[in-house]
Amino acid sequence: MKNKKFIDAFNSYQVSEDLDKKILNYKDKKFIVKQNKFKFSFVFSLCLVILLVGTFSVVAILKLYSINKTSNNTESGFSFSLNEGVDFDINSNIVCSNLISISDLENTLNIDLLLDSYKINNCMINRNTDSSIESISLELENNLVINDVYFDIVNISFMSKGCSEETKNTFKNVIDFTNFSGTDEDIVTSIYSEKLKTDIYYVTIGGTNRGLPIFFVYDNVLYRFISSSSSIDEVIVALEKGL
Amino acid sequence: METKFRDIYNLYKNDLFRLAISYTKNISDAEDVIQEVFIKLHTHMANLNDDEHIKYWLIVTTINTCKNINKSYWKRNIISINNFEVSKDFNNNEILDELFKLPRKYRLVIFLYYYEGYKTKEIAGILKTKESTIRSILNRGRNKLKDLLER
Repeated sequence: MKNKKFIDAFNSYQVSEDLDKKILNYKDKKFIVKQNKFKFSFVFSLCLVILLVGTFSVVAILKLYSINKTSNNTESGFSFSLNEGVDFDINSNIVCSNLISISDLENTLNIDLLLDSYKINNCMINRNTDSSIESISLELENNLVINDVYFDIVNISFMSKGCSEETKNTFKNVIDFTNFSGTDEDIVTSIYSEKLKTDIYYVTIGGTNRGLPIFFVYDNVLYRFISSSSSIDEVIVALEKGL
Repeated sequence: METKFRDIYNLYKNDLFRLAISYTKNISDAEDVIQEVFIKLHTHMANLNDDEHIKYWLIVTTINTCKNINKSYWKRNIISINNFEVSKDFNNNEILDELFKLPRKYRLVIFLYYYEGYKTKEIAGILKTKESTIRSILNRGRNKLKDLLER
């Protein structure tokens, strides 16, 4: 039951305008903060999704790429990768002797690799038990002179796709440079050859050009060059010219 | 939703403010209570459906907030001048001046009955007490207030 005197007594007291503003402004601010929070969380979520998709894509691409590659890590952290599908396509009927001519070798290997100026000093063929060729190592006398530097001997190795695991491992070990001194002074690096469209890896042993080993895969054949008196630039010029 | 909040605020703000005054006997405390109540309303408004439910919720929340303010460390440990005399804000109002001399439980029931116009059964529902208790409190409070006003 309402009482008029009572109501009149209380009616003189009302919420002040300041309090009105305070409460309604608080409400507005809170609403704006809520909206901003929503915007921020939306943008943040979008960025997170993009980041995750990007990361997964990169990981997927890298994984896909690494499926077809085997990496050989050297002690110095150098990594040399070979395509799994590489065919070291060497004709097993190759006849190798000290008398083999450059053109015979070129025809047999079906590549235009060797310059006429090379002479084979030594030829070593490893065969499988079925007489197929595992690998070939050639020691060539190089009469090429570039910038007054004489290429005395170049050692070239080829590995057949039919080679044994043992030979493969031996080859990989050579690639891993484990047979070199492995000191901090041995510098392993690579140069990309535009002409060959491949990375050419090389080691400067003891910080010098002496015994410069070079590795690369070209046209599905793995090449290993060892040159004793040439710079990497000179070797690359020779390789690009020869291949 | 924001318009609804504004409408509810404008509709109930003064009633709740007066309820808070009747409990706290202090305008600044009542303002604090109202501010807190409407902040709570903004948070919980989505859960409140019909208008009657909102009004009931606001009254109960205002009473609870008043209780909490009185329980605060500051209130329990600092003696206000209002404990010795009724706030000067109400000195010109004979009814309120006498009402505030009554204990809190009488003030609250008298306010809900005579100002809000609630029935004793509804007050019992709000304060979660028996209706007979509310009737008893109301009767005693009314007699005490009458005595005070007749002096």
